[in-house]
This record gives sequence, structure tokens and C-alpha cells, in this order.
Amino acid sequence: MTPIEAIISSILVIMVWSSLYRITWVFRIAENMIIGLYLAFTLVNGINVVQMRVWNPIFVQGNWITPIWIAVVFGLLSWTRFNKQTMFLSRWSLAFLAGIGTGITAGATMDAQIVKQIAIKAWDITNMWTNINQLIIIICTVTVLIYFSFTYGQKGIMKNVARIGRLLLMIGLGAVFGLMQMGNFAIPIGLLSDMSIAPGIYVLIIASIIIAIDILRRRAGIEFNLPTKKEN
Amino acid sequence: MSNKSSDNSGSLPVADRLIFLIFFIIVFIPMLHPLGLPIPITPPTREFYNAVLSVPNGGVVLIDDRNGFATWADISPGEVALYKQLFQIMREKNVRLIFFSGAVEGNQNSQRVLREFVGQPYPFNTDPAYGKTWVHLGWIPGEETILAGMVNDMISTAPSDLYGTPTKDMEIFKYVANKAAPFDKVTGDDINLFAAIHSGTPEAWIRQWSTFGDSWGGNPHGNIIEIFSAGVIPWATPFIEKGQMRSYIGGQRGGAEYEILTANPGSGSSYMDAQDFAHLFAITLIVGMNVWYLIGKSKGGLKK
Repeated sequence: MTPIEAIISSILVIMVWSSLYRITWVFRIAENMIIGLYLAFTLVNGINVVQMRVWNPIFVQGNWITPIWIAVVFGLLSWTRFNKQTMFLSRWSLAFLAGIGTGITAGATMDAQIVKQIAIKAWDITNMWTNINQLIIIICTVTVLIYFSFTYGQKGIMKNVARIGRLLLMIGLGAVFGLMQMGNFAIPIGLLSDMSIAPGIYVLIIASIIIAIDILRRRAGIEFNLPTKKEN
Repeated sequence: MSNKSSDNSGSLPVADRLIFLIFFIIVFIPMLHPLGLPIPITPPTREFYNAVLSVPNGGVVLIDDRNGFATWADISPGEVALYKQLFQIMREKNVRLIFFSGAVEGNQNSQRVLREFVGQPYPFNTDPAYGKTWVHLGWIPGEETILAGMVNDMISTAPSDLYGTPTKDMEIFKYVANKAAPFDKVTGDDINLFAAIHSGTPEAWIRQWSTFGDSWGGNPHGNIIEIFSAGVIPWATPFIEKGQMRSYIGGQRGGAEYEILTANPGSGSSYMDAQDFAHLFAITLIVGMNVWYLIGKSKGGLKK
């Protein structure tokens, strides 16, 4: 990262993080800029792909007879949505995409996520942990399924089994939550590390001074007429 | 301490602002003065490293990089270390590398890693090895459909590379197509190792790639390695248990371990002290607030 890139990056990060102190026009500018930049970035990449994978093969290389036309027709049909009279045609593109997506995913899901997951491996005498893991998977699957079965009243032994299922579910969700937090900590740490060295640290110092001045100004009751947006 | 926002502008309550301020101070200190706390290597990271090392001479690795801008800090340590190790085995074992991205942001990040961290010449097609031992196919829109396409007929799914060069004319694809059987299609069976880098859940790659085997190296099916956020680890564990996935790198922590294994200390290792401090702060908050809640409850001051 060049020094200029590091300065711009640090300024933008602090502009977004300024919402932790107070939502002001500084945050709004950063918010809108990031959304706008992302849309522009996606649009440019989309146009590049259309040029390289559609325009060039057909019009530059002259491959007039090509299945790419099918994609072109369905792509153009999706734009008929902008007119009420031709709107129904856009459903064909959507139906085509949804059909292919479902077909490709559903078949593979059956094999990879259902059949293989419920298949129980043979007893492994060399590694006891494998057997214990298998047992845990079976217990968890059965008890959690019973907990989520609402078609009959959970009484007697079924109530106790369902309670075990709920406890196991809580353990699982706790593990997911804990690991999610690990990921959530990682992002600010990574961004903050750029501000622990020059030139990012200078941006951080200047931003801290501005925030300190704003706190003092607000305590003193001095108002600047800056365009702040009030939440409803 | 007031728990209300000091104004009506949608700002955070004062208590929350203080928590964030303390958090930033706590993680900032070890960045200025690193402590160098030990980072033990966990079995999944070691297995991930071994999976890359075990690619046979002349083997092929397919890499789908979908790391987004928002998760750059979390996933990039592992991503950078993987790219470095891949280029190392490319030079040492003549392994072929095929990069592509199923997400628009991943394409940009992948190119950045190749340019800034691996040190490949840019534009990539100025590198003499480009198109022969490695190639970047750019962003291929289509999500999971593309994953299926890449292992059923790669050249039809990606007719051109990042620069619009037809893939069927490239030396790397001719080599892969002729390796298993003469003038064969390039399919998943020609791939020795599949790598996915993303911030979502791991199922899509397992669904589409785990049934494809390795026709050269004799490795079993499920030769998939993935790099993702730490929160995704519970989703991946059942797939490893059933042999559908080889291993994973979980977030910044996994990336730091992998950097140490590959002898490429980078950003991940330097973040670990701050991670440890952040977790200590979180544990203190959780324990402290629960104790405060229980004391308040016992005194009858808090309503359930």
C-alpha cells in the first residue's frame, strides 16, 4: 500500500467509525461514498465481463453461431421489467436461472449434505475419538430433531430427550457465537493496525484531536450549522 | 452511568461508546508494543499445510478466491500465505495453478495478493510463466452454477482468461487436457487439489467438488481445502469428519498459524497479541456484567 493509499484508507475508516462517537455528516459522506464506489466497481467489472465473454467472441472474433446468444436473449429479457406491458417476459429469465440453480444445487445437496452426513462409518478400533464423534453426531441429530418436533406433545421421556436436544443446541450456538466474535474482532484489529504506523497514525491523531474539540464544543453549547441528518 | 443516547441523532448510548473506546485502546497497545505471545499450531492448520505440500509433481490446483473487501483483515493472512506456498510448489514441483473468482470482490483481492504480496509482474500476462504454469481466469459470474461448470467442462465454462485470451489455446489447459487422457475435456478429475477462499459457509464447494477425485495422485475424494472466517468452523467440521473436506484455515488466527508453518510471518502473526487482548476484554465484560446482573437481582434491584 502506498502512503497516499494508506492515508485515504485511514481517513475513510475513521469517517465510518466516527458513527461510534456520533452520527454526523462525516459518517453520511463515507456511508454514501462506499455504497456508490461499490456499485461503480461492480458495474465496471460487469461491463468488462460482458465485453470479454459476450461482445468479443461474437462481434470481434466472429463466432456468430454460439450458445452465448441464449444468455444474451435471457439477459435482455430481464430488462423488459421496466415496461409494464412487457414485464411478464422478464419472468422467463428468472425462471431459467432459478430452474438451473435449483437443479444443480438440489441433486448435489442430497448426496453431499444428507446421504453422506447420515451414513455411519464402521467402528474404528484404531481411533476411539472417531467413534465418540460418530456417537455425538447421532445423539445430537436425534435429540435436536425431537426438540423441533411440534406435531405431538412432548411428555415423559420425550420431554427429557427434547431438553437434552435444547442443551446441545445451545452449546452449538454458543460455539458459533464465540467464533463469530473472533471474526468480528479480527476486522477492526486489521484496520486499526494500519493506523498504528505512519502515515495512518497521523490521521488517527488528527481525528482524535477533532473529536476532543467537538466534545468540548458540545459541552460549551457552541453549535456549528453543519448539515446533520436527524433519525426519525 | 447513563445508558441513554446523549442526543436524538441515532448515536450510541454513552456506555456503548465507552466500551468501544476501551476496546480500541486495549487492542492498540500491543500494536505499538508487541508482546510476542506464542501461537501454537492447531491440527487443521497443519493438515491444510500438508494438503498443499502433498500435491504431486506436475499436479494441478484450482483456486476459487471470493474474499471480500469487508473480510480482508480476517481472511487475507491465510490467503496470502496460501498464494505464497502455491507459487513455491509451482516452482519446486512444476505444479499448475488455475485461479478464478466466483465473486467480483474476490477477483480484485486475488489480483492484489498476486501483485503486492507474491510479487508477480503486472499485467500478469507479461510473466513468461503465465499461461504455461499458472493462469487467472478473472471473475466468472454465476455463483454455484459456475462451480459445477468448472469441474464438468472448464474450457467451456471459462472460454477466456482475465485478458480475453482463449483458454483452449493456452499451454496450461492443453497440458491438463492431455495429462489424464489425450485431448480429454478439463474436468474436476484432472485437479489434484481444490482451494476455496471465501467469507460464507463451505457447502457450495463441498456439493459441487467433493465427488470429483484425483485421477493422478491416487488421493481419495474430498481433496478440498478452504479458508474462511472463524465463525464458519462449526459448519465445516462435519464435512471433515465425513471425509468430504481435507482441512481449513479459520480466520485471522488460522492465518497466523499458517504463516508460521510456511515461514512467511505476515499480518496475521502481528495481529495475534491484539486478538488475545480483545478476547480478554470480552471475557472480562461478559463475566463482569453477569456478576453485576446477579448482584442486582439478589438485591431485588433488577427486574427479570
